[in-house]
Amino acid sequence: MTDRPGHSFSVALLGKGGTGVVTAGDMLLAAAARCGLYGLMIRAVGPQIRGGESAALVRLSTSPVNCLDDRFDVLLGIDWKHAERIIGDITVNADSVVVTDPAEDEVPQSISGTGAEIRELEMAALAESVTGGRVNMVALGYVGCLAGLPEDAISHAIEKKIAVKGRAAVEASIVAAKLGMASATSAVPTLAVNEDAGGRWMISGNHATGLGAIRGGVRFAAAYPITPATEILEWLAPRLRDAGGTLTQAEDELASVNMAIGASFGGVPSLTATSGPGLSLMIEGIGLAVCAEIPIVVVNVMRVGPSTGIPTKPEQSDFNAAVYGLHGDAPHIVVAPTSVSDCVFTTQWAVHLAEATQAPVIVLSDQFIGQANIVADPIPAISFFAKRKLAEDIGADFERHAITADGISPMPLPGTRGGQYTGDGLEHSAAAKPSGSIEDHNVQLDKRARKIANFDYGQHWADIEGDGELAIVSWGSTASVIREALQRLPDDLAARLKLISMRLLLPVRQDEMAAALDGVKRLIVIEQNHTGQLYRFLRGWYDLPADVDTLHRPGPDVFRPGEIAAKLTQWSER
Amino acid sequence: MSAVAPCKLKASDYKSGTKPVWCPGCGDYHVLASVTKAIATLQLAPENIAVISGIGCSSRLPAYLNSYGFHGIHGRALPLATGLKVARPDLTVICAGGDGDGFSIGGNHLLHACRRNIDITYIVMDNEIYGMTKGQPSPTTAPDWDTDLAPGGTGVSPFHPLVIALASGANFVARAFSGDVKGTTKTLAEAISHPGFSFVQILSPCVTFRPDQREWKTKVHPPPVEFTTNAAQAARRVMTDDGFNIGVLYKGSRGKYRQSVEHDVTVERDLDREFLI
Amino acid sequence: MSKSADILAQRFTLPELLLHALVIELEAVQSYKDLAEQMRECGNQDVAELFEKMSVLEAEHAAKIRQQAKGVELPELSPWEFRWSGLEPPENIDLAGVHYLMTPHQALDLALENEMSAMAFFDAVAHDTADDKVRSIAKEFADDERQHVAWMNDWLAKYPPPADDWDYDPDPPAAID
Repeated sequence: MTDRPGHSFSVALLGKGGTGVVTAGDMLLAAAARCGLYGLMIRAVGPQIRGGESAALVRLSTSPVNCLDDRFDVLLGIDWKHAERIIGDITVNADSVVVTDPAEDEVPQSISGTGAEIRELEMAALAESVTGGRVNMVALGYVGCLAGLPEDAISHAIEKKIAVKGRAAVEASIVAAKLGMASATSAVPTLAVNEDAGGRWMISGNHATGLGAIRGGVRFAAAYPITPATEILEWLAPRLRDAGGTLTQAEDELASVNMAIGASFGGVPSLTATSGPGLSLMIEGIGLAVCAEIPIVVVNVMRVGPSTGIPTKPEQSDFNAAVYGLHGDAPHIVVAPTSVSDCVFTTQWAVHLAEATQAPVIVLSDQFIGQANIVADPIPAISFFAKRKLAEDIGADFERHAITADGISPMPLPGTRGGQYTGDGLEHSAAAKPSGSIEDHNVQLDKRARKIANFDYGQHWADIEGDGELAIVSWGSTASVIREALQRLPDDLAARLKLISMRLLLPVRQDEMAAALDGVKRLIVIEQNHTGQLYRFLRGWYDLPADVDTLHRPGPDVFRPGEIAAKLTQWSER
Repeated sequence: MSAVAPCKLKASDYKSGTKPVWCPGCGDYHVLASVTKAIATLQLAPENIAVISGIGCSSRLPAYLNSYGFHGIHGRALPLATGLKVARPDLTVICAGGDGDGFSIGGNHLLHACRRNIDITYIVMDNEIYGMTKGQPSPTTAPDWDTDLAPGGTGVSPFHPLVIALASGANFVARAFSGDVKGTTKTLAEAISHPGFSFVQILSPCVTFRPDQREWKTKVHPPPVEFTTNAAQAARRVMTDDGFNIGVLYKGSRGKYRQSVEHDVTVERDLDREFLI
Repeated sequence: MSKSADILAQRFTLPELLLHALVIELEAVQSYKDLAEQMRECGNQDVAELFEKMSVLEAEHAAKIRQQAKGVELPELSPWEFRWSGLEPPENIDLAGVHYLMTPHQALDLALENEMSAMAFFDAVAHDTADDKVRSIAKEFADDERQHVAWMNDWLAKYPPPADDWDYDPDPPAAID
């Protein structure tokens, strides 16, 4: 297996609550960004709400990164209290450096046993030698230096984050960090720093989702908190208001989805965000939006299921619920961002699709994408904008659910004279009267299916990279991992591979997929769930080559690029 | 019953030993202590108790008790408990959760559990915030409490749980304060013993998101009068409640919900014969 | 001394006094044990050890009271029938003072408060009783608590008071559900 490219540096900072490892990780990422590096950071926590063990997992790189590396170059433990509870997320090996404070407990066997180089750093003592000095600042200076970050970048990051606490606190923190820097001797690959690059963004998937929503024209959001989606709603609350919209906290998810439908019925593009358990509650409401032809966007930041599952970890196991969960024949749209940055586009596109087709769109994000903070290139605004076909010139024979060529009927907004109708979950005639007739049901079913199936999704249904006869199909955060894995493969193998990262999961795109699979002899579907949900779906709905494989496993064990690269190599040789 | 004389079971015998995830300083630690003491005074066998909860910090309680328990889904502890009590009227069923779980998503179920007067005890640990999801307003949060989800406050009047419970038909309505372990223990013991739906709101400060609630221990006080058995009188009293009266408001005598699974056949039926032409 | 303490003190029989004293210590043993465990879970080793030490101290005291209560038939009281002058037994920890980042100084402060209120309780009983035996036992218990108070003060001197930002945790709380 090829070694990882020397342009990436991964650090894990571990410590009990109060030591501030997450804050140090944030600053490390910010300092790296200032130096022109890209990066990604996630947080790992133990079972305690406060005080328990916590880790900042940071990856810095000279090119954009959208997933964690196979292992950590440096694991720094401010202490090792209960470390065994989160060490599963942190892989180190003989090439890694483990930094420990001799005043604390010993490095756990599971870590020292890997053969990693153990270095001692008297973090607590160094911190104490500075009035107001903190141990996480010493740690920050040390690892920042190992990463090759210049002193002033680190100082600047500290300044920015701690300025609110006053001059003295900033000074003390910088002094403590410098003590850490002074102790660091480099013997890990350091990064080539590019002072030149400015204008990059630091953003999380959840915030990117919020941005996409506002750019797409959402002006009403209904909110009920749930891990790991709450940040979308908390980010939107003040910003929607400033944009002339509003966010209303609902009493539960049943209320949220129905509030969104109500606001949309009134003409305002609407959204709500939740996770698996909330999606299950919203399913009936989404079905109502299908039948009554009301546009809404429901973001589901997937976590490990089923039921309450593991709320703080990612999985891609709500595919079936999103695609099949509605009772009846209920055509709707399901999209999934393929990375943190892609949350902006995909959410904006979801709003556009919902408004254009007058149907609900489910956006399947996941906890990894949602809560990862990345340094990325600026995400440009694009000119997708919600366009609902409105009925303005209303004649006497106006019908709300009129049969049109594209299946999309002009929609009168309340306040439009002559357009009065009663939206309904009951099956109805074209004139929006409740109807139990065979003809009306068939006509409306066809119409609702047709408007979605025949809509022009353009090139956005999937990102297709490469042009080989061996194809990989994936979606969501897994797609990002595969993309990096491909970069690690030798050129001759990479040339034989084609990656299809699906963004539009529903409706099926037979023609587009056929074109994408033209010349493809073998296919593998890679995803993060127990039962191969996308794999089964593709087999049911698409014409695939005879030779189809599946690689799937459930969360919380996210795929890593190295293992994917190894598996693809193996698979291609079969 | 004594707390120290040789009992078959002590309060500590009702603890499972699982370490709570709660932040040190959380009022729920005291509630856990009060629950174990209350059950100890009643000398209930742990295997005959079922503690049902929803989702949230306080809903983690069942795992910390050495009884049967069910950590259900958000807001649905009461229906779960109702189903269990109807199926197994012999069990002592205790429902537990927070103000978000119980009054927001669970609000509808509260109305109907009171209305049915199902013979269970419902303990709501009220900290006027959604703690687990990091600080959103709950139905009992003051309208001007600033949060990220509702900047500047919700502007919406808080829910008054005792009023709702009383108006919906609960047979026992009380408020306690987590820091008053002695009083809470007594109220819980009475609640569990009282037939029908017993509702106890326990003010339980959230040390992480509501440090202002440290003041509660100076604000709580016994009510000016003893409990009443007259619902109308209770209604009048509760309308002037300052939110810090600690004690039993009302003990009613409505019949409890009658339906239950009997294990003896009560009427012989030949079901096949019904369909015979 | 508070008026309520006057009223309470007069009604204590010897068995009641012994029971109350025993409960004070046993509750304290449990409280300190629970707190030690919480502190251990949160990685606050120093305070965990302190609370452990106090738990042991209280257990010793409880053993001593049990000795004294040998042969005496203790009454059976429900938890709410105990006559404390405040909301809680004198040595029950006020959770408002507990924090996962608390320093040893603060832990000792809490403990000191408890010892002092226990001491005040027994002093009140000794002062206001008409019964010689009750008075002598109450006085003895008060002296024991006074000794504890002295120990707490000694230990306190060994630990610096907390810095202004003792409870500053730069990281946000974890949402685990």
